[in-house]
Amino acid sequence: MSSRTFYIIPEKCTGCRTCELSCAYSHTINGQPGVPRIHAYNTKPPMEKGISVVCLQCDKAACVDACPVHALQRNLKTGAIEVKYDLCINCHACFAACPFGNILIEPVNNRVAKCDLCGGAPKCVQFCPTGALQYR
Amino acid sequence: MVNIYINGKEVAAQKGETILQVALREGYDIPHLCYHPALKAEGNCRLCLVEAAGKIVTSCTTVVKDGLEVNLDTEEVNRHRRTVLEMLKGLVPKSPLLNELSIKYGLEKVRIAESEEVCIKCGLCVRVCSDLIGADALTQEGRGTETFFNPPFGEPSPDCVGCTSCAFICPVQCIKYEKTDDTITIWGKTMDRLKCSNCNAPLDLTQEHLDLIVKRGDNLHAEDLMLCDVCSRAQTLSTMKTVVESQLNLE
Repeated sequence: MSSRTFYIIPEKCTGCRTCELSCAYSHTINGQPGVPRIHAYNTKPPMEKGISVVCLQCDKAACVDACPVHALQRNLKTGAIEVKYDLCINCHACFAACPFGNILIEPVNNRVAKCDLCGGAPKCVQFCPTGALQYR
Repeated sequence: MVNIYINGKEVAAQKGETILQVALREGYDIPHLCYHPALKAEGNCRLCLVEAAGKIVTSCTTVVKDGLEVNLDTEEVNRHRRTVLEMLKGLVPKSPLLNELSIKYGLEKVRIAESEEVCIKCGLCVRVCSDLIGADALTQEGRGTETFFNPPFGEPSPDCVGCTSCAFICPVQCIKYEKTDDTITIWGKTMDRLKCSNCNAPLDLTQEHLDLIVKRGDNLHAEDLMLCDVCSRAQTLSTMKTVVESQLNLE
């Protein structure tokens, strides 16, 4: 298992949604931006101004249990659960099963999409201007 | 571990693997329609022909042996592929995928009469429904060239859950379905789409499919599946907020 963890620090988040943009543009399909896997929401104090919701990479994940073909597999290097698209049969069971709403449907091609931690270097973390997202 | 030779190059393979699996992993291109990595290979489409130890075989069903010599692109292999493609194109004249392959392998004209139905009889739809989804709503009927795939007796099947995986997996996209805000219609059966229990938005899910998914694991609960992704995220957000606020108050 990966020793690094994805941190969301609400005291630093300004709700600017740069994370959503960087995610959409780092998961492009045929030159079109993909659906953002991370969502920033506005909040009120005592939090700064926002909070981001992203896949929690659960230890006992509902999406993994719901998949009939084991197309959702954990990448042991990054700790992320990744969709193996060559196995996926597009039944959308994982999309329905995720209790946190962090599996999405790509409108361009109707395939499922989820946070893959960008293979170990999350773009949202690199682009977050205030350091509210960290992967360490 | 065994070693095989693909186009003269030595390649390591696991025991029990098929030629197609090894070749695809090593980045070689073998055309195939009815092979899916999650299903047992059946060799129905006949397009993945290669030459192995001097014989023409379907690479998806031929298990590797130590020292096996495989040739992927000899003139003879391509001639056989063209013949198979020609017959498949007779079945599905307008498939974009088959047209693409015809150009690639130099098939110029189809000598057999064009069929009116559009199915290459590969059986992937039946196998995905029974072996993967577990609904068992489709069967193969007829034999040989008369083969076709259908819900049993051609009637809308009570077992169909409306997951539309058969339509997705069909290599020539011949299975059609219709989705409206309220219903999913496939194989002549119309099913109601469930509505989000919070905001009433239509879900990508039917009651039958939900029942099937819930059986797959102990931590799958119907009430979680009944929420749309937007409402699920809203719920996650409010939980996160509560946690953060209580922590900030403590400090």
